[in-house]
Amino acid sequence: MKYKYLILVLIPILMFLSSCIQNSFEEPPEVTIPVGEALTIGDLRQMYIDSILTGPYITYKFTNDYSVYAVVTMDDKSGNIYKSAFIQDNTGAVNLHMQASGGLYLGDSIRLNLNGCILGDYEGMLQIDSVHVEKNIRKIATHMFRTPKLLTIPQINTGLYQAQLIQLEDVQFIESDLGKTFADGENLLTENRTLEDCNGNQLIVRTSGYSSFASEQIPEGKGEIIGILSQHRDEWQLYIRKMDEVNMDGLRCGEYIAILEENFDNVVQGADIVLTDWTNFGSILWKGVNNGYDTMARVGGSGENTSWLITPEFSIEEHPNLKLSFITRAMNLNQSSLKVYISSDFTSGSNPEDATWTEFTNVIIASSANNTNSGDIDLSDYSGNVHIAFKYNCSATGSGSYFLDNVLVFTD
Amino acid sequence: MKKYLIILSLLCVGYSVFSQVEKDTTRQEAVENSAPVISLSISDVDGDEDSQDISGLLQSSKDIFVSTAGYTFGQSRYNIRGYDSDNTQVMINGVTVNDINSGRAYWSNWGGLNDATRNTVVLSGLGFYDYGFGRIGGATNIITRASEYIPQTRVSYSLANKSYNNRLMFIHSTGLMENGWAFTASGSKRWAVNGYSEGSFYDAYSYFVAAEKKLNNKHSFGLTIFGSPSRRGGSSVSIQEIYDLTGDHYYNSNWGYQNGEVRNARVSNYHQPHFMLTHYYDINEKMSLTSSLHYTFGRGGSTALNWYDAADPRPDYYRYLPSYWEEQNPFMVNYLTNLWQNDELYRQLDWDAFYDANRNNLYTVNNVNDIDGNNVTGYRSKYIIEDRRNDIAQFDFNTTLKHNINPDLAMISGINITKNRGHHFKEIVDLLGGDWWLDIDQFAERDFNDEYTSQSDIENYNRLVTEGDVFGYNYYSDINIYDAFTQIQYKTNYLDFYAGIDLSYTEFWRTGMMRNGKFPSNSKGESEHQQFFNYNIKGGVNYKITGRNFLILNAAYLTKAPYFRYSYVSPRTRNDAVEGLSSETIMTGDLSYIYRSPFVQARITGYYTDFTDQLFNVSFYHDELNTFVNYIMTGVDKLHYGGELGVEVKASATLTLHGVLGYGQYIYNSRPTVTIAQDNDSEILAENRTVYLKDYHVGGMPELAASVGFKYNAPKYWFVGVNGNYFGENYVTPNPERRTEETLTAYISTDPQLEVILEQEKLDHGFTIDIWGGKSWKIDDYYLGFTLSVNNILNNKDLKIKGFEQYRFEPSDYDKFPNKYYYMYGRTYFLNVYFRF
Repeated sequence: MKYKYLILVLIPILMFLSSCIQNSFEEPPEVTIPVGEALTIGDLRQMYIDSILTGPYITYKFTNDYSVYAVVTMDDKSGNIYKSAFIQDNTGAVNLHMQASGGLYLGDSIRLNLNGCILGDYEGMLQIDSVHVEKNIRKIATHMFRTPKLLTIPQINTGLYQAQLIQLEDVQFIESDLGKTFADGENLLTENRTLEDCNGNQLIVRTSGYSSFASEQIPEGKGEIIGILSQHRDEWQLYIRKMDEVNMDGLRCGEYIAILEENFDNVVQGADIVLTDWTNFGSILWKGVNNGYDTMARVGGSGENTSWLITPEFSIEEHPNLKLSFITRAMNLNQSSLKVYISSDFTSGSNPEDATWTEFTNVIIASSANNTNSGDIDLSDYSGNVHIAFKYNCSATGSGSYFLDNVLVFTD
Repeated sequence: MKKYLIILSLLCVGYSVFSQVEKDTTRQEAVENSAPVISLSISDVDGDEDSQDISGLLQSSKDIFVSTAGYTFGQSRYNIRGYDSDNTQVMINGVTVNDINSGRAYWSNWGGLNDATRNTVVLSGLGFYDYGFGRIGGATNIITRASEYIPQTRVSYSLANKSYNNRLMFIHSTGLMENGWAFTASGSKRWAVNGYSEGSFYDAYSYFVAAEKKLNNKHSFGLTIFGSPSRRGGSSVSIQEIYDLTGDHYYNSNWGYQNGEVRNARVSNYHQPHFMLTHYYDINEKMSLTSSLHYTFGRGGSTALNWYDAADPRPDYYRYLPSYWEEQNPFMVNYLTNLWQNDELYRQLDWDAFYDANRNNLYTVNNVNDIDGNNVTGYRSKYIIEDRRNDIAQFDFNTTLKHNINPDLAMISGINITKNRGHHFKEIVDLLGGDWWLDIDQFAERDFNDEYTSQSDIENYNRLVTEGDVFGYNYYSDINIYDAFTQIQYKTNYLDFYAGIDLSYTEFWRTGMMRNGKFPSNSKGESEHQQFFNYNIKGGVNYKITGRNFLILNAAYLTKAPYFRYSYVSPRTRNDAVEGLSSETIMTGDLSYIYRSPFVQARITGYYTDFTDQLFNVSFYHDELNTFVNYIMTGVDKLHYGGELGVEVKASATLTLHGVLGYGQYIYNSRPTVTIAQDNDSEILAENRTVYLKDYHVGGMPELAASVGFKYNAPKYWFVGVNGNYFGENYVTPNPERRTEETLTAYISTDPQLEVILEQEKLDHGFTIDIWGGKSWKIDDYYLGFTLSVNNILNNKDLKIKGFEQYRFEPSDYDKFPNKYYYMYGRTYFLNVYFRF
């Protein structure tokens, strides 16, 4: 009977003390990635040229430790690229083709050990293939964002910027792309869209149907865009990273907003020009031309004369990038001139001679009877509420006439 | 006395011996003839509580069909009449202990307490029952009244090759002592470093204390405290391709090596202690009142891997299989086949790689905790182990009045009050080498491209969570049930009648603790309360044709409130209840003929059960959507009908022969309507689709099971038995999505592929043999014995016992996600040695 209680006490103790089931696990040791010799991306590009482009190999597989230090300029988080990333250092940029998606993020400063990776190209695009995000890469820092390189479309075609982060300004999507989306997000299809500058130079923007912005509308305006410059055979393609980097809400090439526009359509043939808020002042006055073919303003004669035609007042500050343009024609010029001025202290209807005027020097004024465009005169250096004056001057022995049309103050 | 003890010791090792059941028969006298009623469990050939259901409770039924179904058929996942375990009421001292969230009874709640929970009264199917109203599948009451334990000390050790390998168990009971006290204590430990499938471990304990004080002849008070803390490493289920590649029908994808040690990613960890105070009141000779207060609380949950922006860590992910590359890349097919066959690192989890990934993922999160400029840089875990918790706290009050009005008329009435609060959340268990995890929803992050929407809790914007933190989702379920019943039985010379009614009121609601970024207005706070009033009516008659021939008819009509866990569109994220939530209706009846003579016991039964308006809500992880998808069907009707046959023949004083056959049809009987919702998006993927499910089999278990065998009971305290078992008519569980018009639009009606998609696979039938035996010795006042059972002695490892169609389905490539199967274990043994004094 004594044993009974002994057993009764011992058994539970034995039971609960012994445990052969593992409950906690030791962390595996850290895996270090050897450094080896350091290479720049420029070195890689040179290797590619030496051994693949002109050399005997189709691809080159690294079997030793080489380290490339670079910054991630594009990840596959947005879905625009898949199992892929772009890295860049001061010597250039290259595309990484990863074994699995995810794990590298924009702004990661990394050391890439090339051992096991394959250098090659895909349709002209330099690529490091078979990169494993854990086995080949160690992260050094985060949020090291690179500033994009400001380029023009013609510069792209030099081929010096493959895989780099670039920025284009004053570009727009071509007319036929407007109303479309970046890609077919519904059916997950990749689509090409075309960018152009105001000179008609074009660049493809390629977007995956899997990207988070595939179904976004193509912006209709002109502006700036940031992306990664990719190449497919002879074609250059821009990959957008995120919608924040597409800012194209300006006016398209050739479009403007008029602050002041006067085509002299309603002037009376031969009569002094009288227009609301305009000032017509001088020894001879500006007169209307309305002869069935043209409507314009005309000034001229012979002998010493000074004539002012002054626009209504407008504000420089209210509108960014204000510009002035107009058209002139000239006849029988002899010691006569037409000059264009700006003033911020003139009052409509007062004597222009009392105000301070600054002459525009880079204006093209007609010297013949052909319509002559003044060119776009930048007004953004001026300030305040201003008037523009067209001032005719003729010497006592001189003569000549000027015609003025399509006076336009605009922003684009 | 000695003889009595010897018989008892034999019983302890015996396998459900019909004639030898002696204790408690008086308790059940009133229903003795309304078979299949079971009383007293004295079987020790048990052991494996693998299926976590109640089949273990049926193992020692008095009815040969039920006991065979419970024990022998258990290995094939056979369910009596095809009923889910929520159709059986399991009680401890009259208090229902079925899980209130799902209605299911979990054996694991008292796992390892076989000695302490031996005293049960089982009702199979419908009938008059002393301890509660019961459900259509029956009822079991485990009695833990300390004074009813035989005074003894018993120690046993078991050796097995099932889900655990070793069990050590003891019980000590004082019986009712002269001072009016009675005590019982029991405990056990079960463990396996490697269970039947590789990488599955088992680490479970249990404790049990019961005390009773008899104040006087009328009043006794009992206290019972028990619990079964357990940790188990999970096993997996796979498609045939994987079984073929690995040559292992028990392949387990859940484990891998960490630092050279085997680690399992899916560890279930439960500990919910129960406290029960019971008052036994014998009012007079005819009336007794038993009342209990019950409180249980504790943790439940299973761990799982979670990952962010990284390769799927699961080795059996479909893209890692050779078949994925079949049409596009023969090189990959060969390459992966070789890896699967020869590289353990490839076919199992690679923990070291998870650590490497986490420790290399330097990351900066901006505006942590919504503080501008609070940018935190650290190692962001890509892979973590999370614990998906379902904790509970439940209070019950139960009182049952038993009134034997006269020898022919008895009445049982009772009241139950249950208040349950469940806490459902995820907790980070292991960052696997990383510094933190950002609590956002990656699917929403990808799809909405908006940092606000992707927040798990916008009131904790950009929260970095570490080990022990709650994240992802966090909500409470409150369920209150008020229930009252009464039943009467009246007996005459030729006819016995019984009838009963049960009325209940159920109320439940959800309380969100996080304001989810996608559902800011309906994720936090209390949801609308759902309220249901339900009734059950049952009745039966036993026509005693002669003293040996009985005809028994039972019938019931009832309504059942929907379970909380199925009632919300996406309980993890929001308060929206399923539209048109309603109670299901069950109509059932059975007719039995029973023959009883000293030599032959036989029963033949026909049953018919009609379930209407069931709710079906399954939540599964959709790989492509990267989110939980909730597949909600309403208006699901099912029909279960069939027959049961059990015959037991006492060929001689020592030899008993038996034969058992169960055959039924469990089929869908309606075209349900389905709604598919997502956890991470308010977009409903499908609404009011018609599922053409009518006449499909419910599947997932054999509809046909048969067993014949004999048992030899030697006079010298040993016995041996053999069973031959047959399983058939086992259909895979159908994926409703494959039976909708919308899914199949890609196919023209004459396409032969259509037939393949619509067909429901029937698994091969199979045959197994089990043997068992035991012997006991009496040495002075000590008893020593052993039992050994060997299941599937022919080591048939090719018998699929359960199959299901994957919910993920690709209409254009219908076999991309093939069926998954469970195989029956091969030869397993369970050896039990005990010592009693």
